[in-house]
Amino acid sequence: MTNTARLIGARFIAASLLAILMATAPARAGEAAEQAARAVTETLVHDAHGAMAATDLDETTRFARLTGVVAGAFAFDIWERFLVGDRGLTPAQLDEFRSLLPGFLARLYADRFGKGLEAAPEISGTRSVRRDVMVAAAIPRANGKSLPVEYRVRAFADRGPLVIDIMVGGISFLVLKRDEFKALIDSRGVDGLLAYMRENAV
Amino acid sequence: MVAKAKKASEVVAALGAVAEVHEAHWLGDLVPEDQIAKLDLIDLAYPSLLHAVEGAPVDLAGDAAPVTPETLALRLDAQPGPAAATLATELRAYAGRRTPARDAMLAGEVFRHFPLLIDRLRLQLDAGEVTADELPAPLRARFLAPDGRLRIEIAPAADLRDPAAMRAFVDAVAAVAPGAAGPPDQITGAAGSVAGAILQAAALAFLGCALLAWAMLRNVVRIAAILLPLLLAGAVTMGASVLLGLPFNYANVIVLPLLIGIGIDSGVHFALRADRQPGSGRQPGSVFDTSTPRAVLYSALTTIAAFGTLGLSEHRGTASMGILLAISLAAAVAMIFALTPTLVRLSQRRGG
Repeated sequence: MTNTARLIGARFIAASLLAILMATAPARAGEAAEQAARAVTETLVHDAHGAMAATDLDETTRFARLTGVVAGAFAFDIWERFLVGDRGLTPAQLDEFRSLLPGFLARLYADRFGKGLEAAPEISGTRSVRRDVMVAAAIPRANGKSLPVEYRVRAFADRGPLVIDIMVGGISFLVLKRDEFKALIDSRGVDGLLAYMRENAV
Repeated sequence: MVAKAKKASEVVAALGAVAEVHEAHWLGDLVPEDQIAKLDLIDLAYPSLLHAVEGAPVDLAGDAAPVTPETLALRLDAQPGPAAATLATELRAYAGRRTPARDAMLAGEVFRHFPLLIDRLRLQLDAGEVTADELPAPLRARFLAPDGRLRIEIAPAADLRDPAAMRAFVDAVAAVAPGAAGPPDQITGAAGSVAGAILQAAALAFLGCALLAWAMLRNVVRIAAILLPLLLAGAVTMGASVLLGLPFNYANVIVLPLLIGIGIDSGVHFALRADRQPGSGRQPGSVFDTSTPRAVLYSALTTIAAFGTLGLSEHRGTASMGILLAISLAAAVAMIFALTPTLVRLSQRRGG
């Protein structure tokens, strides 16, 4: 084979490889995003279960640890925007809301998933939904059955993948709390909401 | 019509502050506001809605009993209000006569429109940003001219069947948007033009008749003897229009110049005959010894009858014109009979 033929052949192979790489780039990017989302969720689920199941620690310490886990996994700006973003909170009220939110979500997490802790939760799969990744998990329940939960994870350019919502049986926690917070603000005002969060935060 | 979207927005905002304007909108108002925030909310709810549309039910409690009318009624017993109690009663009654066939029929009736609603919901889940270019073509064509100009639609706050409200609306809009046009502006403008034209016609008729009377009589008092009854007949006509509920409109406003042009005829005959009666200085009323009053009366009656028959017309404008003209001509004849001889006598005593 002459040098020219070898050169042409090499260029053809390189171009083909490049075309294949470009065609599969979106799929590979999607897979990478799903894997990253799965990793974040596994950490959250595992560490949260560990915090709630640590019977050697007192309740205050367990909840503090759980709050730390939640604070590291959730995108609180998204939660804040959808829960109270258009309700006209003053800067002071907003500061208190932000300080209460991690503990409030930790309490919520504990109330929903803090039973049946003998068995650890398992991640069962991932799927892409719009620009986010839904990570499915099975949370063991006291009656031996599993609760199907989905964690909605969004990739942020500056912070990486974070949890923006939790869905149980197709019911979104963020949507539920948004409606609940709206009703609380309408009936008791922002201060009433903050008082409610203080009562229900760890 | 404005050329730029920015101008349209400014004009609409300015019109919004006008008390006579109920609302004003342009093409930009058809594009939803805060779309980013709204689309964010749709995006937030997307997985839940998708699950509702396509997902399978999940037993969240883990030990849920089968749902029956009895279990639903038990739950309703704990709810406040008469509606819950009524529904619980109905459910228990249905439980007593329940069969699979009846269940299927009930499900069919209750969920008859669900497939359509679910399909519509599924479509709405994929909602995206809406721009003016994506609006339906007929809607765009209503607000966007082929040459790119934008139409602003202005709705009045008051009922424009009231002419005063229409006038106020047109004036208020013109103060903010001088180039605004439409039916209210056209009607108001036409009314003004017609009114001006009629006043001009009446004035010209009066002036023309006064000049002719001067040419014939050369005496101010005798001219007044002819013209004053017409003025008084005009006042009577206006009073009659109020009493009879026949306001002046485009059709009958021509009564005033016609009154002058036709009514002066009787006055001229009367004045000339009264002036030429032999033996000046005689008692007033001597003209009534002549045939002129009868001739004037019969002539006027035929004219009044001719115009009065218009009052039988089905066209309301023509009918009002006929009625008012008959009244005005009758009043003119009555005034002429009452005043003209006396005024001519006065001029004769003064040696005119």
